[in-house]
Amino acid sequence: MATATTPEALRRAARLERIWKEPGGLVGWITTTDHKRIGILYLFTSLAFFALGGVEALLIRTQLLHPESTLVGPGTFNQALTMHGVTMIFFFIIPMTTGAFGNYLLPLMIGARDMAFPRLNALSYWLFLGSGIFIYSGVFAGHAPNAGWFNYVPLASRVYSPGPGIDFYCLGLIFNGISSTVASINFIVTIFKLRAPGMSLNRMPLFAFAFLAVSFALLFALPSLTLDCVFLELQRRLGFQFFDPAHGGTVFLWQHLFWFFGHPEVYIIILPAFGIATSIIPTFTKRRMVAFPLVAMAEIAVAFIGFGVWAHHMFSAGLPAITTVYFAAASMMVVIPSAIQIFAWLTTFASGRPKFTTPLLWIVGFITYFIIGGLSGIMFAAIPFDQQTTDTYFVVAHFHFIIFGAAVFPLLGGLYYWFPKVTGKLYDERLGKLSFWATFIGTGLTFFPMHIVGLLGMPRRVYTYPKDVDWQSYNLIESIGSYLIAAGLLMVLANLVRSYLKGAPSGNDPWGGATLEWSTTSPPPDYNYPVIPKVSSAYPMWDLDDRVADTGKLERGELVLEEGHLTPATTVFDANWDEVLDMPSESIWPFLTGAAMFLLFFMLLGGHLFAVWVTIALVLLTLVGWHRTEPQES
Amino acid sequence: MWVSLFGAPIAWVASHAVGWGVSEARCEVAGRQWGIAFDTWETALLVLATALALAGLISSMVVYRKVKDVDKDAGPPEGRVWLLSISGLVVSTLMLVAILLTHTAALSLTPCSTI
Amino acid sequence: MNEVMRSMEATTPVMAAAADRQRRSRPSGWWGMALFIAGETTFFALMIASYFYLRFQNAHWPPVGVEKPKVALPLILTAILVATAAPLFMAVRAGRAGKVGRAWLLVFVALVVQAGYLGVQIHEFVGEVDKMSPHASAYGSIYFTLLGAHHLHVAAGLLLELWLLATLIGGLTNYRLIALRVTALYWYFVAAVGVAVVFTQIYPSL
Repeated sequence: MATATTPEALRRAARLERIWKEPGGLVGWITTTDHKRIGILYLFTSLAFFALGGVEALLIRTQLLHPESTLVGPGTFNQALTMHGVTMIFFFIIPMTTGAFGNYLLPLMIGARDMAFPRLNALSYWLFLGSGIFIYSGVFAGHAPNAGWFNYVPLASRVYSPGPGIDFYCLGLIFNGISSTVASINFIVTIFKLRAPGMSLNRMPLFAFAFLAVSFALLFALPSLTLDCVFLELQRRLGFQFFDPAHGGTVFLWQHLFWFFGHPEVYIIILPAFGIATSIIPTFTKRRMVAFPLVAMAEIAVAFIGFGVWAHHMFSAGLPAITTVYFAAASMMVVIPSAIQIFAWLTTFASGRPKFTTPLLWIVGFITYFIIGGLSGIMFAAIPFDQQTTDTYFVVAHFHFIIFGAAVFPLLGGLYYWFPKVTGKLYDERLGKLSFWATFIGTGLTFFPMHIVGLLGMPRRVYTYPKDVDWQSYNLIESIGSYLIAAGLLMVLANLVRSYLKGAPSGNDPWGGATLEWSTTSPPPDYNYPVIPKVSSAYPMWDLDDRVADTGKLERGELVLEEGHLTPATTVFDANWDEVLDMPSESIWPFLTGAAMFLLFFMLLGGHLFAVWVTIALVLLTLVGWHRTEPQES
Repeated sequence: MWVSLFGAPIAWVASHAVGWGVSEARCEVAGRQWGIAFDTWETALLVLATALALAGLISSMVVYRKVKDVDKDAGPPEGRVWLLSISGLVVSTLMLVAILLTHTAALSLTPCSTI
Repeated sequence: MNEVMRSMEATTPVMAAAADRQRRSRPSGWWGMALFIAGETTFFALMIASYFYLRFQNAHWPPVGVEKPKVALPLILTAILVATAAPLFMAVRAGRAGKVGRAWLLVFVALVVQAGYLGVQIHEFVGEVDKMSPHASAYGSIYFTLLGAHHLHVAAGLLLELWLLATLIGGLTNYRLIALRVTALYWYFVAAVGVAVVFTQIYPSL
C-alpha cells in the first residue's frame, strides 16, 4: 500500500485530493464524472428495478399458487410476465453488473484513476435511468408491453397489439441499448489503454477479462436487437412489410434477429458473474486461480461461440434440419469453456484453504446452481429433446437456475465482498450467512420442481392451469420458495443497510485480497491511487515488494502525476507507458444530453415529425456544449 | 502467433455464416428455383474450414512449444505470448470439433426435411 | 518516465503534431470511434443479411410490377463518396504535421462533395418512394430502410465535419487533432459501408 506517512507524502496526497475532489450535494451527483460515484448511482437505480422486477415475479407466483386462480386476469398477467423479463434483464442485471460493479471496480483493478471517457460514462448512466423511466411510464399509464420479453410477431404487430405497449418496448429497448453500447465502448478502451504500465495480458485480473468479453459481446449483439426493434416500429407505425408473409416478409426475420442478440445476451448476463467469482475464490482460498490462461480464454470463448448458437431458441419453429445442425453443434461446443471454468474453480477450492465467509458461500451456491442449470441447458442442444421441452416449465427451470442461481448469486456475494471497500464498514457475518441460506434454499424450492412440472407438460407463460392435472403441488412449493427468496433478499438488504449505518470499521483490506483495489483506503480516495502501482503478476496485492516500493515512490514523487487531473495511458497489448492523459472534471453536459435524449424518445413515441426534429436538434446542441470544453480545460 | 489465435475461429465463423446462409437459401422459396448443389457447398466448406482450423491448431502448438517454459508472471511480450498460445491451443481444438460436427451432420441429413 | 508526454497540454499546432509523433499506439479517442464503427458495421451487416434473408422468401425479387433498380447512377455516386476519402486522408496527414490551414481546406472540400452526394441521393430516394411504396412489399421496405440508414449516417458525418471545421478555426490542439483523425475514420467506414450497400441495392439488376 502506498500509504502517506511522511510530511512530503501527505502533502502530495492532499494535493491529489484537491485536484480530484468533486462538489457535494445534488449538483455534485448530477455533474459527476467519477467512475465510483457513477457506479453508486447505477447500484441504487438497478436495485430499485430489481425490486420492481421482484414484485412482478411475486405477482406471477402468487397467481400460480392455486389452479384456476382469479387473482389477476390474463391481460395483467401477460404484462407482469413481460415486464418481469424486461426489467430483470435490461434494467437490473446488465446495469448492475456492467454499470455498478464494472464502473466502480474496473479502473481500480487495473491501476487507473478513472475510465477512459469519464463524461461518456456519466451519459451511459443518465441514458439508463431515462430508458427505465420511459418504459415504466408506459407501465404506470396502463400500457405495459405484454407480448413477452422476446416480443414475437405477429402477436407484437399492430394487428394483434394495437395499443402503445409494444412501442414502449421497442423504443425503450433502443434507448437502453444506446446506454449499454456507450458503456461497452468505454470499458473496452479503458481495458486497452488505461492499464497500469507493466500490466501485460497475463497480469491482468480475470475480472477484467470477463468484462472485456462482456463489452465486446454487448457491442456486437445490441445492433441486432436495435435493428429488430427498428423494423418492428417501421412496420407498426409506418406500415412497412418486414414480417408479413402476405407481402413477402416473414415472421422468422424477427426471431433470427432477436435471438442473434438474445443468445449472446445470456452470456453477457453470466460473464460478469464469472468475473466476480474468479475474484472472490482466490481471496478466500488463499491460492492463485488454477489454470489462469484457460479461465481467461474460456471467458472470451464463451462470449465468442455464443454468437453462433442463436437458432437453438428456434428448434421447434420449423426450420430445416440441415440449418438446425449448425446450431446444435455449436451449442454443444459452447458448454466446454464453461466446464473448463468449473473444473478450474473446483480445483482451486480443493487445493487451497477455503474459508467459508458469506461471499464464498454465495460462490459455492453459484457453482452448485450453475452446474444444475448448465446440465439442463446442454440437454437442449439435443434437438429431439428440445422439441419435447420447448415452451414448457423445464425451460423456465433451466434459465432461472442460470440467471438467478448462477448470475445473481455472485452479485450478492460481490455486494458482501466489496461492501467493506465501498463503505469502510464490515457487514454482520451471521446475518450474511443466514441471508445466503434463505435465498439458496428458496431458489432450490422455487425452480427445481419446475423441471418436473415442465416434463409433466405444464406450458410456459400460462396465467393459470386446471385443477385436474396434478400440477398444483409443484406450483405450491414453487410459490412458497419464491416467498423464501424474497425473505432472503430482504435479509441481504437489511444487513447491508444496518451495517452501513452501524457496522465496525473495516480497514483497507479485511480479506487479504489479491487485486489492487484492496490497496486503497476504504472507501477509496477520489484519485484512487496516490502512486500508479507497479504490477508484476495478476495478484498484485500478494507481491509485497511492489507494494512497499509504491510507498517509496509516493515519498519521492515518482509516478504520482500530481500536476493535474492525470492518469497514464499505455499501449494496447503490452501496457508499455505511452502518454499521460488529462481527464475531464465534472460536467453538466452528460446529464443534459441524457435529458434531451429522454425527450426525443417520447417524441418518437408520440410520432409528430416536427417535434422529433426539434428534439434531435436539442440533442445535437447538448453535444456541442459538451465538446466545447476540452479535458485539459476542465 | 496471431494465426494460432485467430485462424480456427475465423474458419468456424466463415463456415458457419456461409453454411447457414446456403442452407437457408436451399430450403426457402427462392432456393428451389436456383437448384443449389448443397452437398458440393457443404463439402467445400468442410474441407476449407478444417484446413484453416488445423493450420491454427498446428501453429498454436509451434508457438506453445517455444514459450512453455516462460514464467507465467513474465512481463510483456513473453508473458502475453504464453497466455495467448495456450488460448490458441484450446480454441483451435474447440473450433475444429465444431466444424467437423457441423458439416458432417449437414451432409448426412436430407436437405429441407423439417424434423 | 519523464519523457512521456502530457498529451492534452499540446494546445498549439506544433505541440499537437509533436504529441502525435511521440505516441506509440493509437489514442483512446481513435479506439472509441473504431469500436463505435464496429457496432455500426454489425448493424449494417445484419441489415444486408436481412435483405438477403427476405430475398430467399420470395420467388420474384423485386416483386412483380416493380422495376429493377438502376445500376449506373448508384455506382457513380458511391464512387464519388469513396473518392472523398482522399482529401480526408490528406487532411489528417496535414493535421498530424501541424498544418491546420491545409487540413481545414481539405475537410471543407470533402464536406462540399459529400453534401452534394447526399443531395442527389435524397432526390433519388424521394423519387423512388413515389414509384415503389414500402407498404406494398418486403422488397420496398428493406430497400428504403437500408438506403435511408446509410443516408442518415452520411448526414451525421456531415454534422461531424461541420463541428470539426468550426472548432479548427480556433486552432489545433491535441484534442482537436484526435477529433480530425476520428472524423476521417468515421468517413472511411461510411464509404466502405456505402460500397456494400450499393451492391446490395443493385443486386437484382446484376
